[in-house]
Amino acid sequence: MSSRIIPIIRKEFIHIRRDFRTLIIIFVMPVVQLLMFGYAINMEIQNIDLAVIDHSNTPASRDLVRAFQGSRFFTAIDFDGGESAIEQLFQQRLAKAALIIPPDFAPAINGPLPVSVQVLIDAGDSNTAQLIQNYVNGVLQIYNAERGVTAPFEARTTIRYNPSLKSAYFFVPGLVALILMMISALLTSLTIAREKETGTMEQILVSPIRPLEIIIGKVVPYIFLAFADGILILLVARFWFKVPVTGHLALILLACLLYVCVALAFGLLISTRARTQQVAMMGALMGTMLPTVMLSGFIFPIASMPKVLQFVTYIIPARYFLPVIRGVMLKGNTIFHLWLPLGVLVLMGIVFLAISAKRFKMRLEV
Amino acid sequence: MQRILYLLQKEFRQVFRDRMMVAIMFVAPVIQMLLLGSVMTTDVKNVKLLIYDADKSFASRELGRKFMNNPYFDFIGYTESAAAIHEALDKWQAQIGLLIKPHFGRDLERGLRPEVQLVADGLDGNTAGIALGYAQGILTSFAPDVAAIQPVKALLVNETRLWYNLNLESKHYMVPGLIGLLATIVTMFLTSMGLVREKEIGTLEQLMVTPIRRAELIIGKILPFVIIGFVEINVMFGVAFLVFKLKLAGSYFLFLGVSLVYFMTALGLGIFISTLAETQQQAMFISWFFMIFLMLMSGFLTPVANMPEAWQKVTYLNPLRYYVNLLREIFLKATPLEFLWNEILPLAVFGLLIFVASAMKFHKRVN
Repeated sequence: MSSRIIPIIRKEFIHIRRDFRTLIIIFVMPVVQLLMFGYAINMEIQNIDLAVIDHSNTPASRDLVRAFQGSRFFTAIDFDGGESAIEQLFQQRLAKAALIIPPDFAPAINGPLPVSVQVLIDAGDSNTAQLIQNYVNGVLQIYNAERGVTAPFEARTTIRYNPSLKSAYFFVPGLVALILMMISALLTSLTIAREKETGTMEQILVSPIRPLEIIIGKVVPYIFLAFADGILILLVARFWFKVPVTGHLALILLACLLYVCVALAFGLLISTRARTQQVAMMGALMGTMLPTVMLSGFIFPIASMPKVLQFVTYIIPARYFLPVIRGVMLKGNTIFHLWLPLGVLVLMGIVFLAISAKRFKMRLEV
Repeated sequence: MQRILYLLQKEFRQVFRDRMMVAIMFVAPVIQMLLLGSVMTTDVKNVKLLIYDADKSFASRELGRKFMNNPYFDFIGYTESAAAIHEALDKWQAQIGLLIKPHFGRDLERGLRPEVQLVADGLDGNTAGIALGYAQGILTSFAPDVAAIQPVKALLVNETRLWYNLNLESKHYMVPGLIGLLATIVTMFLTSMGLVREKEIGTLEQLMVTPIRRAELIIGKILPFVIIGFVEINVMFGVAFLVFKLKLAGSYFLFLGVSLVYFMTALGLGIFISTLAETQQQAMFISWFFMIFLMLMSGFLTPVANMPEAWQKVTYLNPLRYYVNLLREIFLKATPLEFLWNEILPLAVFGLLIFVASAMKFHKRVN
């Protein structure tokens, strides 16, 4: 059996080496995409333009404004147009939020009763508005604490794994999942469809090779390629985006290998169905890109989705790979934490391979 | 004029004959809109919460209950040690933990400022930041309930008012952007694919030898997609209203007007791509590349202001950036025309440039 598989593997390698342009695409495209995505997706905000309407205009109120200005989140802008002009200010996009200090601010702040200042936020962008709200609360808390006014208990916050809440730490490992899935599925989806289109498939079919042997022979070379791709992306993640690796490197590599196999098997599944390369390519792009971006927890948390879609996420391979790669890189997870998602990935790989081998056999008989 | 009409007729027939095309044009965007509109939310909900209450006094239980009753947290249970919370965070079973130390209730009454700890999983920075914000809010509002001792000086609090999107529904922010994105896909993809297909089959040459002038040919090729684009955005507008309850705050005609300006750019890009590609497959790849660039650099997913400086400058070259901005301003904020020139002018200049350039490139090909 193995003596028949090896020549197929060799043949496939020759195919790959000949198609130099595709090779470049395989190794350059992921890096370019990683750089593009890695910088474009960023949830952190700084320098929020804050219009200040200071009716009090006293040392006390100016202290408050300074507290806002001093935090790295806000840039205070003096505004004397009055409250009615704020709507225009938001529409012209000259400010994202406005702070209104009442005229009796100075005497009140030294009295015993709670004082309130008004903060208006342009919530056209809901997520930014939410963050601005949090920042405002943070600034006021510090302001109160500095004046010696505090809550009757002390709240201490510990943020683990990513203390500075960097977006890149979250997105870059996620991108590894997305890019590996797309590249791997694209690679195998084209191999069988191409042989079908050029007519060489029939020649292979009349040879005494068994379907499973063809499939293994076709997948093995791409495992090498896609795995090499994975290592390349991980290097960029580690040394360009400076994402730390706190867990075992070996576990990351193992998980990548496993995930790549699942993705390749998925591509193969598409390939056995598609008649032309174009259909195969569309299928691979549609079947990997959108679900992986939208339904895996890559950007949008699964817990916030509608219930029905939460169920759909269970069939997306990246959903299982993401906690593994994020967990090992940032949380220092070990295999004892991650056996469940890893097990599901193994199962998925076997199912995809089995279905495509079966489909393939049926084709032979027809 | 007569000739353009004939060409229009031909083009519409060609489009509607292919059932696959009709599906791609009208069914796919609606499905995408429904799916993406409900998935693409940056709302933070159901944050998994664990509580370790070492005090078990009246005050500590009250505080725990405040957290449990908050709709943003999904309370999973009490644990018996601080270590259990850290372990649950490691195992992805919880995202935030509340730790209340022994004697919390007693110390609170005596004014000894006991400590409450929050432990959060910071991996997903956005979720963690917002969840901690909710938690701080609960803590601040809890304080006065049991505090026996009043502070000597006034506590400064803020009264927040959110404009345009009172409930902070991120759907309402995402859906106008989606209309822009899907309209681009349909118009740009279809023009480029349509032209390249005629090239592939060889019917483009037949068209060129007819007495039609180039301008007429281009107009005849583009007008159908302008019309289809308008139908498209209206369908999506309807879906946005019916399914996502998104009302158009601004002027409907302004919405149509800026869309027309944008279509010119998108269609121009389509023609441009068709002159680059020889086969439909190439056209698809090039369109795909353009799409990714347009999407990522438009502020559609995350605000442009969050990007590094250099990248922000690149976004000025992206027509979709202006269109997505315009749609959001018109849909959510009812911003009048007078404040929108910063977007409309570059968009118009772009449209004109791309359109003329690609028409010229197309024209050379005819010779």
